[in-house]
Amino acid sequence: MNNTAEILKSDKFKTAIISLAIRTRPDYIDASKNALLSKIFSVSSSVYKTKYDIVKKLDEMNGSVFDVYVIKKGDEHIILFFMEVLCTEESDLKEPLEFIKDIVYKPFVCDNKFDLDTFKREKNRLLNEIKAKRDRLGEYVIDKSVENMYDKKGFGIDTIGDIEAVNSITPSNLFEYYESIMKNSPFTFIICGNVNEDSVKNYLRENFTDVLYRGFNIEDSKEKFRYKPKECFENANIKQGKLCIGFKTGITLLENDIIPLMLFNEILGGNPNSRLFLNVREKEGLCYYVNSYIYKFKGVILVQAGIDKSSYDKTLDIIKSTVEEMKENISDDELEYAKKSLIQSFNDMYDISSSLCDNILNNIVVDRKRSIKDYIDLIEKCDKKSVMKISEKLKLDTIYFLSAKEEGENA
Amino acid sequence: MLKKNGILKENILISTLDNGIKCYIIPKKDYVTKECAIVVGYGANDINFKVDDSNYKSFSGTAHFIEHKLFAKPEGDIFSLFSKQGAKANAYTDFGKTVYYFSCTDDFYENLKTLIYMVKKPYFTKENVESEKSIIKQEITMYEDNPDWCVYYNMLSIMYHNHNVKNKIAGTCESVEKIDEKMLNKCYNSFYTPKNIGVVCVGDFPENDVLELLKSEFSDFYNTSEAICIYGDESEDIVEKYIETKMDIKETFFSVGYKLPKYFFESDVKKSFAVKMIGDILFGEGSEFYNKLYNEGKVRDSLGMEFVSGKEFAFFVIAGNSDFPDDIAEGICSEFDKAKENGVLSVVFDRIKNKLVSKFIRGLNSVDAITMAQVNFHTNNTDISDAYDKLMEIDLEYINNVLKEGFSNKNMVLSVIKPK
Repeated sequence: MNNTAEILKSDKFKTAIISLAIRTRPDYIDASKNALLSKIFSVSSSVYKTKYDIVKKLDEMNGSVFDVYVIKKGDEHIILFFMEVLCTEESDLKEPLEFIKDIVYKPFVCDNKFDLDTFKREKNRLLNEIKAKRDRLGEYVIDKSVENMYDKKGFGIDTIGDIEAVNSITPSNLFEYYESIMKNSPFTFIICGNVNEDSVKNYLRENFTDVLYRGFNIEDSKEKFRYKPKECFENANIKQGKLCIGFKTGITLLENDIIPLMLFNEILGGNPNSRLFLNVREKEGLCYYVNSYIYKFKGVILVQAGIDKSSYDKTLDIIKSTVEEMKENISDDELEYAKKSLIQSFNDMYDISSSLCDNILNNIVVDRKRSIKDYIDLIEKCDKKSVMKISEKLKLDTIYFLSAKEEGENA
Repeated sequence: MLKKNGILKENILISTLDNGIKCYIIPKKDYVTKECAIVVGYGANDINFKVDDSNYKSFSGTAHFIEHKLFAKPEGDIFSLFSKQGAKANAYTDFGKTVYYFSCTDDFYENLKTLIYMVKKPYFTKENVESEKSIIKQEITMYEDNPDWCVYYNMLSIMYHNHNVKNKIAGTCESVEKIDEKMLNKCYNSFYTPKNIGVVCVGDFPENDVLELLKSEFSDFYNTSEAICIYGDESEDIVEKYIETKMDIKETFFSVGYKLPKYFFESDVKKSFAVKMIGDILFGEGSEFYNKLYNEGKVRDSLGMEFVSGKEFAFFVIAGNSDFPDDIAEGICSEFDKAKENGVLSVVFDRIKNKLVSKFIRGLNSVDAITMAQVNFHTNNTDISDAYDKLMEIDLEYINNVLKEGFSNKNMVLSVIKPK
């Protein structure tokens, strides 16, 4: 897919979205550089030197929204520029594209180093953000599970990096990294809204030619399975324990089995009619929330629940047996409801421009075109046997439990 | 009545049913998602009330308990019925209302009937009420580990002497334990009345068909009970200036709160927008105040701001993470003083108003955002088209007047949670 840009022309929305994805496959250190670079991009350039200048410029552009952050799709870490501008009449998006161009091509740099004040402040912000991850218990436990499942490699590398790696970054080695990205990384524009396609493409061809039309030829690393699941326990002075269980399947977004896997996940814990919700919450009253979530790029299923420490063994047993039972039976009704629920999630994407853009980005990352409609067709066709067969591929990999201390227990 | 807003390019059908239910139907052409929300004007604050000349006291967490248990029916759980019908359903309770909603792409009418049936026909039994208690207690425990939630309620605890707003929405593990099916029935019968209910439907459908369906599904729903709530005597002043607690966290959380006087109680939509604008002008990402903090590395993220206004209470919150909460609180006070004395600059006002208008229009991209916005506008007795007009009406003079009516530094409180 070596187009100038992916453009979804639509007058359904009152805004246009511009997203620029810079694709990387970082090691541990470079992941942190991506994170720091995103922060610096989002608050400075040599044209708009401070966050204040950027915010003012955005306000002047009719209250546009702009941010830069890192997302993970499989082993890829993507620096994503996101901009949303009011767009009720057809537009060439010249002003916002010019704004992005200035940020990308004219970073706030002197003598081949990032501006020291900006660098120091943003580095500090990043360090604090990493430290503060523990304060969002639910997300923290998920991240720790994934990190352990992949031993801090590839998909197991956090998108905001880690303290040690961030500490090793300097204003000059970050600038070197920036230059290497500008030279080698694939850049992709995805634009959605009431836009004039020709003028947008012309603008991009004239101004971004050197970074467009690049591709990746690397495949994701092959899945490794454990003989015995890894159990991790962490103590904290909290009231409710947070449990997260990671399963691997080795199924990727490119394989046909991804559809039955999505349906399997739906039946297991994807909605309030799911088996986990009924078994763990409604029947046993063990928790307020329990659900399962799928990482499509890796075919990973994560089950999470907030429980009392004393319910740990019982909850774990119920979750394991719930998975086990799905090998033996899935009812026709269950499959039908799961299909409806999953199809609705795909249908919802038609109404959200950022979701439409995201699906395009997914296609680019796996280098295979699958529209929302294609997914819905595949879901409709999927049979029960293939969903039940997923249980055989599901391998319990990691259990992470951030547990509340019992009374009288010390830290 | 069908209202057409030419600037927004949106229509809205507003109708009051014979029994008093207010309906808002907003067609959204080309959208596949359809959503409906039922709003009941009964929330966590409505604990003590007078009905048929006698006083009644419920326990804190009752409205939220009803929200959980209204999904229970003799034939099973409505939550999973929605899933079976391809809809995603949910509900929430805040200080002044309870909201039940679903979204779907197919079978909208079927799901709409289900939602109405659910709200019309409670089924509270001793058994299903008892079994829900452990789930709600787990929910409460989950909140208790959330520093954002704790810093917020700590703030309310030093702001209010008596008003029920200081109670936690879900109640406490102790208060929930005391709630039974009789209490749920009593509160349901007192507050789930047609006059106290609004319905919002958004999606690509013929608006008149939806209205007909609402008429027929609600035609057997009559309840003329009129409950009057008692919130407790509350003076204008605060309880304490400062509260600090510790949690097992890594960053310091703070929340600066202004207790606001009567002028701000049950604010209409124009006043609410004005307060939001004031917050953004003084402390938003485009303010000098924020940028000084940012450049000095004193804040990592933008400051969260919220204006909450309801029956016999109103407050304004500025919250975030920082190792320097005292400095920030002091700075906020002096910003308010300066703004009250000198007024807001007109260039700044224009910029921020423009931004808020743009945000309003951006919200019209999403069926869910429109639904939730209209839910809130309903409690202000207005609609999305009128709200837009009110927003456009706001001028500098109005902003400066609103500023002078409140935000007195003597009624400012600071709540801080530090790492252990």
